[in-house]
Amino acid sequence: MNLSRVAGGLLIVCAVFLMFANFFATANPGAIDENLPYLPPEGIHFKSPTGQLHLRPFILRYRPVNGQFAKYAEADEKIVPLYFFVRTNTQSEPGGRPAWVLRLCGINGEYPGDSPHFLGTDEFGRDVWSRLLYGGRTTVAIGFVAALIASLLAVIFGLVAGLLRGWVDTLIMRLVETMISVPWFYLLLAVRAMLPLRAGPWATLATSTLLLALIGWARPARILRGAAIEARQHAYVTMAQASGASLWHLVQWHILPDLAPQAITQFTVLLPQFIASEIALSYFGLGVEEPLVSWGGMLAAAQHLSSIVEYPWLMSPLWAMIPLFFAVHVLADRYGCKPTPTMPSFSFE
Amino acid sequence: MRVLARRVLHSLISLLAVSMLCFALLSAAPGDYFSELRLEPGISQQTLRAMERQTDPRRSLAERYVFWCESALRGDFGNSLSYHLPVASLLSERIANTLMLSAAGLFGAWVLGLALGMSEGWFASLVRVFTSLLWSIPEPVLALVLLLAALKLHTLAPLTVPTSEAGWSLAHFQSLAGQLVLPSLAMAIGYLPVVIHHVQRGLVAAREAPAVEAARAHGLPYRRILLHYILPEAANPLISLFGLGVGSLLSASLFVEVLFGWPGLGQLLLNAILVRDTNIVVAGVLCSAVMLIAGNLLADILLWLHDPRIREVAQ
Repeated sequence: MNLSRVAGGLLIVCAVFLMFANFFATANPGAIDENLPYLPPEGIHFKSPTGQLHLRPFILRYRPVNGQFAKYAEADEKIVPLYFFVRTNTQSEPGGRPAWVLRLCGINGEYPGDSPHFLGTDEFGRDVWSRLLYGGRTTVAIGFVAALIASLLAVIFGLVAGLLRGWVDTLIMRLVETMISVPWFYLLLAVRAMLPLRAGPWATLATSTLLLALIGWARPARILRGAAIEARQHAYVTMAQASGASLWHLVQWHILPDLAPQAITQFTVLLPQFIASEIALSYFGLGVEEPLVSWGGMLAAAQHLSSIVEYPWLMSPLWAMIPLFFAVHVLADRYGCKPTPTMPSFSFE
Repeated sequence: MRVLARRVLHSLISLLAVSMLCFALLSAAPGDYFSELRLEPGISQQTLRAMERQTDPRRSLAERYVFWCESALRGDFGNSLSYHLPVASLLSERIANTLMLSAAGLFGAWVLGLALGMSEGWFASLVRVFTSLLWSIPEPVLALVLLLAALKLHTLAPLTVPTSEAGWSLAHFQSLAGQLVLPSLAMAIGYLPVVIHHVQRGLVAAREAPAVEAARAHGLPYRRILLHYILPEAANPLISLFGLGVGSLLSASLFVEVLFGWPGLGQLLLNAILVRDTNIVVAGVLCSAVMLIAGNLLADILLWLHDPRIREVAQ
């Protein structure tokens, strides 16, 4: 068994699911259904309760028990066949312009907007499976872009500090030391405290990304600075310099290629850390705002112990994190440089 | 010792920088405690104005910073706007709780990590697989699984606030330890893969060191070689890792505290951010920095004690 191949496949599957969330989702992530709060997951079956085999997969529906909150019983005509590659109308309000979306699967619902709930619904009757996909897209996108920006910043600052030396180096390194003398997540919260608490969904998306990037570059920058200083001391760099190469030429042809593996390793270290941090931020209500969905926000709805026990499907983002993190970790371990002692755990440091 | 003094001085300077940065950032923040209060419909404008008048009237940033420094030197770190108490009195108990949790987590991770990391043969490969699995499970998942397991087993005592006022009787200590088990276990298991990974890596390298080879050639018993030759050989990077781990566990404790309802620094800080209680945020962040720096300093001292080469370089 080739573990890194498994991990690569897993990563691609995750990416496809999240990228084409529109297609794999079964409902609008924000579509509220007051009648179905905390609906349990409707599993996909082939065999009906009477023992009959169906060629077409179907779901077993639940219907609310009259007068009781979030209590469900199996419906009478509970076998609802699933159809594939269906065009669904996802218009937001009844009078609005119809918006057609191609979905992987759907049902002939009893009312417009009726959809299968593979992972049940949350307290507002929103479909957890769809929210999982859309939320994962937000969360992973933030982590990915932030890690990209942070690695870029780290390369730039590391190069500038490592090549120019002198007071620039001192200044940058003092800043880096100040930043890393505060535990990562505390620093994140402190800087988050500076930003407005409520700013609209897209603004919070941008601030979360920038926040992670602007705080996360310090540690990799220190490593890359060391690498840049080391790269500079190679004989071929001295040679090129002696033959009159400009600093930019040195950077472009000799130092950057030397730094690239280190930079990529730092990216793979930052990525899971940033994803976890985004989840924690939105979990604390400091991340992305509704109506944008994020894994942390979904988990925040399940903060109470009673809801964890009674509605365990609300915890699905946690289970979704495992294959994702596993894939990233295995690939980082295989193809990255050797881990340094600064290599953090998958927690928030 | 002079090196140590320089390190302490260095740490103090970076603490000062942290406090300045924190203060400047928070002053640059749009809105303050009162603008959050203004959103509450239940508070009248007059009350708000009266409350505003009572607080620090100094306006310029430098003035406020100097004022804050004075209060920090007095040892109370200013007043909390939301609790109407000196920040220091709020923080002290929380810090003790956070420290207790982090220390327990760190201790657990290292004891387990050393024990598992030192294993050999087929068990070592098993540990390796286990480590890479564990590495890919995010900490919140671990914490939750533990929480659920405890609920299933009905062993979870209701989490009550561990106060020091109850006195340090044996019963109190027992209940405290009982409550500490789960959150610290969550933190320990979360950090465990890092420890095991480095212990295994270090030991593999150390087994090939010439001194170990020589000891083996002398026919020393294996246990003696392991304890007296291999472990000291592998210790240096592990000691550094120990220092770095303090920071990791402090960050992790923030999340675990909120999840388990452990009344530590994390919860206080989070609430302070949500209501914009600046003084608490600055002091809280500063405290975490102090703990991190102390951890690194401790690692440096351990290194200095352990390795005569470092002592020589230092002199």
